[in-house]
Amino acid sequence: MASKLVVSIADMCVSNDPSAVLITYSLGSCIGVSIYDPVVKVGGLLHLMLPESKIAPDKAEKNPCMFADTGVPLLFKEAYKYGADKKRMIIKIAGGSQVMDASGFFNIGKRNYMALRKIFWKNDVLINKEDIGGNVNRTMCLEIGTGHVYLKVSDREEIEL
Amino acid sequence: MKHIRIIAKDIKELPPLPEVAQKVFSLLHDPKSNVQDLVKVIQLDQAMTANILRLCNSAYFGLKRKISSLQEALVLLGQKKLHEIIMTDSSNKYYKKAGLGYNLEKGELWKHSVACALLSQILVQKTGLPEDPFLFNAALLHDIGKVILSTYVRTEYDQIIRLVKEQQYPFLQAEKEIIGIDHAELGARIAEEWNFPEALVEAIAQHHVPDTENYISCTVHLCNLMTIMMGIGTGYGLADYGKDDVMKKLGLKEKHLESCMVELWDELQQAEELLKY
Ligand SMILES: [Fe+2]
Ligand SMILES: [Fe+2]
Repeated sequence: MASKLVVSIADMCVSNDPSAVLITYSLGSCIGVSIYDPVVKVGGLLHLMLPESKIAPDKAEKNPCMFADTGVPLLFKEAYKYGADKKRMIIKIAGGSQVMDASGFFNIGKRNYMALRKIFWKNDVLINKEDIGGNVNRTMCLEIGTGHVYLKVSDREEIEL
Repeated sequence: MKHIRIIAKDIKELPPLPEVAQKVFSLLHDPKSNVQDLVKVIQLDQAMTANILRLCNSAYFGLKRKISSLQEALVLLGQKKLHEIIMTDSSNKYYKKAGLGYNLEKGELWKHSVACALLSQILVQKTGLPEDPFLFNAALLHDIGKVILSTYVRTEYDQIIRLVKEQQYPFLQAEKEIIGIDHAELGARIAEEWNFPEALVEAIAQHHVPDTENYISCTVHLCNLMTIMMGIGTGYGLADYGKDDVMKKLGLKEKHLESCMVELWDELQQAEELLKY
């Protein structure tokens, strides 16, 4: 029986339990980051909300998962504890939607994405798959046993990412 | 269009907000009027009194000791908070089951509404926007039209979504085009039927397309966008316009939105009692 572990907003979960499925619902402008090491079969899922922690350093200290720049390093660190290796990590991201006409003030989705790209680029890791932007609502899950990532976009059928 | 006449009947049949809510509104209009009258009316209703006390004692308000009377609540939380609690309690029954047509699970529309109401107060505190006695209520009740329209959106879902997907309609306009009325307009009609103050009727009517001269509408508009961006009551998606002129009018920057979203997240962790109901 698969055990479903729900990752809420500004939250993360790392696991090496082959029966676990990590799932996060309702990604609007937030982004879900899934990492997976296929050799040791360790994976993690982060639901980040905003790009940079400098907007509220005290809150970032309390909960690093809120921000891309503090959440992503923590996600990797947790996975390393289970023997995951950066070089083997498969990274898939989804979310970052925008409201319509989000020219200036409302482009948090896009800025979340830019922040992630910057972090990964600086750390020399590639984003393997992504489903970003638009004005849709996404649900994302990671199967620890297989490393498969599934995505449900608004009211459409679930697809593999 | 065929639905319009039945919808008009639905509005009439919706059970009205309890009398205490009307009392709150008149108190908001006239701060000199007597809050004790309000307390007396609530006390007549045991279930309501119990619920209100339960909310007062919830972690969200962080009271150091448990209170057991409305008088204590008034003293320890103040009149403003007590009003907010009464309105929250009074509006819960409409929202708790609604939302299916909007791809919202049971309880999500309620969560969205409470989150907007909390966020409206966070915006005021964090960005120095003016206080307005009706702002909390407008944010709490902005989607009241969905309570009725949800059923019709469900029936006409495929057509509405086709406009959103293929012709880039905002969800609201798609509702209007297919059903003949959108949830903002319908919400305003409900508000009128319930004799809400004009300020509230307007804010509900305009919450997706606010008149930049109307402060409450603009603020509620922002609260709605920020919560759906955070995935709270997002439903189908973010098919809605974000109005930059609203931000300019209110003198807000991106960083304000972001820090208010952080604060909201924090408050929601404490607000479980309000959210589950
Ligand atoms: Fe709305
Ligand atoms: Fe809304």
